[in-house]
Amino acid sequence: MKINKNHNKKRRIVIALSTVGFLVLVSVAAAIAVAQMANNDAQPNTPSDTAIPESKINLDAPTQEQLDAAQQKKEDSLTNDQVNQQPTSSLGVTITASNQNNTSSLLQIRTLIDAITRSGTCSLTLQQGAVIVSRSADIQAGPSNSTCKGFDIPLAELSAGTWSLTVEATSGNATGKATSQVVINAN
Amino acid sequence: MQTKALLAPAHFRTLYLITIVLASFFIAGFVSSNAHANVAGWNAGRIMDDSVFVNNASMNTAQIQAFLNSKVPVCDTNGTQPSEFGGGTRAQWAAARGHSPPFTCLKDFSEGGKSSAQIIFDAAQEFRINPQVLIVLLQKEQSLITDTWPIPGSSQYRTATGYGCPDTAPCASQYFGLTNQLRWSARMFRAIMNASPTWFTPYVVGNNFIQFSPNAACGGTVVNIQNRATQALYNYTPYQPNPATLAAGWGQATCGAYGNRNFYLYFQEWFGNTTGPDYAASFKPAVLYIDESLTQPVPRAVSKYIVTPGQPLFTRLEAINVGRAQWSLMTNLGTSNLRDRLSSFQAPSWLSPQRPAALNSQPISANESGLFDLELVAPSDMSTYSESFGIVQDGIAWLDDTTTFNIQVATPAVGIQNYTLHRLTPGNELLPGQVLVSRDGYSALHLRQDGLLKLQTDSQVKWTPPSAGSDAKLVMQPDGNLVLYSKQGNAIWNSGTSGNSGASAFVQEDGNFVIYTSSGTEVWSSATSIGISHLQFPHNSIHRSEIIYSGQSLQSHDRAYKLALQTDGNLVLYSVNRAIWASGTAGKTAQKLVMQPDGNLVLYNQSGSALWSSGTAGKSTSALFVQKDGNLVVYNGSGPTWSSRTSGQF
Repeated sequence: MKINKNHNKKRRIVIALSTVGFLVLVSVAAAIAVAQMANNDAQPNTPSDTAIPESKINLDAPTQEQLDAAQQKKEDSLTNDQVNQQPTSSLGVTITASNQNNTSSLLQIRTLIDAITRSGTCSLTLQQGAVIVSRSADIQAGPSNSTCKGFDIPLAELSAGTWSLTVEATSGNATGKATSQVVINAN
Repeated sequence: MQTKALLAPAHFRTLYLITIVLASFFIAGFVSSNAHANVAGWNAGRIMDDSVFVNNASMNTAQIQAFLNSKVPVCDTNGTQPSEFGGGTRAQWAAARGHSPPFTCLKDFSEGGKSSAQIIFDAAQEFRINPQVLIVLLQKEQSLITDTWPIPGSSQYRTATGYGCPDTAPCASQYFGLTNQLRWSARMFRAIMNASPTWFTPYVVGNNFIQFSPNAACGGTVVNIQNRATQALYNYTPYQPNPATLAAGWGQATCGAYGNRNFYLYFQEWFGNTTGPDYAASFKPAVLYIDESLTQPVPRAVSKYIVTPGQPLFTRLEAINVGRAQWSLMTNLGTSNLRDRLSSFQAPSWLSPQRPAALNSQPISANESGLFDLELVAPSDMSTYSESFGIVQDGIAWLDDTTTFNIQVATPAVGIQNYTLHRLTPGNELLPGQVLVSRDGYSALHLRQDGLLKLQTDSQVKWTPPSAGSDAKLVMQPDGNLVLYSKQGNAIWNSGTSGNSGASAFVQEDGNFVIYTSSGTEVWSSATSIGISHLQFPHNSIHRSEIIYSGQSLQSHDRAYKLALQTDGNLVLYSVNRAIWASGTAGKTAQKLVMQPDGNLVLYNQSGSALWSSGTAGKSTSALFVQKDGNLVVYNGSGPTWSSRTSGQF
């Protein structure tokens, strides 16, 4: 018992010292974190009217995080290289914007087609009850996708209220369609 | 006892647990803030400021090369190192997929006799895009900047910037190769920065629904895209990172799309802030003209304009506001390189010796373009000059971008053969080979070397007196008489207007050649007015209610394409080589082409019958443009309603 008691006492001293040391470390970490937060908070207040923003050219070797991200991208790219991709029979169409612009008096409708398509057409149908407004446009290819060549509908053609919106893209045998609704507000 | 006095065991255990919990909290927080520090400023609606995006002066070729070298300290050209993807060495891994060394790292790569650094720099300069943007693009698309063993023949170089590679089909070969890839990307970026009316994007500056991933089931949010640089980046990678992707720092997450996030991270870590100054500009290319209505470009030789002493020069500078602040009354054009220098080309119209022009109209908000009408007068000292101009927000800041004209002032014999004034003042002479040109550039009085004096409008001779033979001269005499003299000094023709001391002769924009007294009274004319001034409409376009008459034409800004309403009745669009579009109305005596207020472009004959139309009636106020890409387009608001579909034809 006595021996055990002495042993426990020593252990407690060691643990107590470790705890104190640990608390010191925590305090230092906390101080650094607080200083960092304070530094971050100060940045937005920097006057910027005539200040040239910080510019740098980092000539250090890449970080491991950058290398890991790059390796992942390389792997994805080379894997896709090995896949014998075939043209799809369907096009993924998304209506990305349907904005009422009262300055230009236009309803701007934009689309995203999930394939590069260098030919084809898009048809737009806006419907409110029995009233139908339609347009067609060519498809324009982008770097990794395509888009309908913009639909700008004069607001004069659209009465106030909710309109159903359909865009259908056709390229060769592939087609795709997206629907949405847009509310036209009275000017 | 001592230990017991310090802490009881139960209390100690409690304190210990609290300490561990607190420590974990602080350490986790500290590590976490480090891991995500660079994503902290991410703004899905403003990934990068326009001014940073177009800063093509950020690096020169040597700096690009040094940067590429730094990111690949050692290139594993022979693939002797173990493959990161397993399968033995890198060479063995590649061989199993049909590829073999040497693996040429980007820093050592060349194509068409140019180093990769030069290719990056050239694309950046050609389309005035920040080369750092192109560098990051190469990294985020194909990891080419840091890759120590890029695989030849794979997509890494073939589609280096990912241009032309669909998600659902094979890549398009016309875009293959480092040079092609960089040029296509930079060209597209520039088209978006210039708000090109012929380049459409899936997203607009404003509200857009942007998915988190190609998988629609992953959802998305409405993002207010605030500038064109961000619009351009989303045009490239049309997805935004979801919160989990942002929280992952450089890592991956469910439904993650990493293109735009990694672009932001790489740029921040390699080149600094993506935020630019409040005041910033990006000039569009400009050309000097000999006439105020900007139709006759000044001749050039080896990228220098050749002008004569005292010759007036004109241009309209267009600059995009790529900053955050609005341009105002205090926004002026200033002499630059060095800023506020005194220019030898100061014209009477300048606001001051250091301020050539003010904004044509203001305010100009971010993403909009401002115009400055600049007039120069060539100095008498015959030398070569480099005239640079920048934009200054007086009292606040100079804007970074400048535009420069290299001009050689030379004698007419060395420089241009034609003297390009539009008037003869008392005592002036028109010598063989010289031309008086109307301010709109459509009418000219030419004294040929053989002594024949010809007044032409739109290349048709409207008036000519008898030939005076070689070495003739046309003199505006101080007595007010305009006389064509032969070499022997015989008066071959005269206007009969002596007794009007101080009179001058003008080639007018309406095609008439007129002598006015010093008080402005017309005393003689060639009676060749076509009844309309070309100054009434811009030379490359007609707008609401404007008309082109038979024999007149429009031309694209670069003069490469011409739309002519021919006297045979046909409306024809010409490239420099051939006719590329026609209305098919030859032989139908068309009189005029009208851009009607209802949006319809109509060709009428003399009896008022429509011979051809664009079929765009009811599409509201429109304008017709002859574009530099060879397309003839009717625009309504911000969108085209009709085109000749001749873009890119030569």
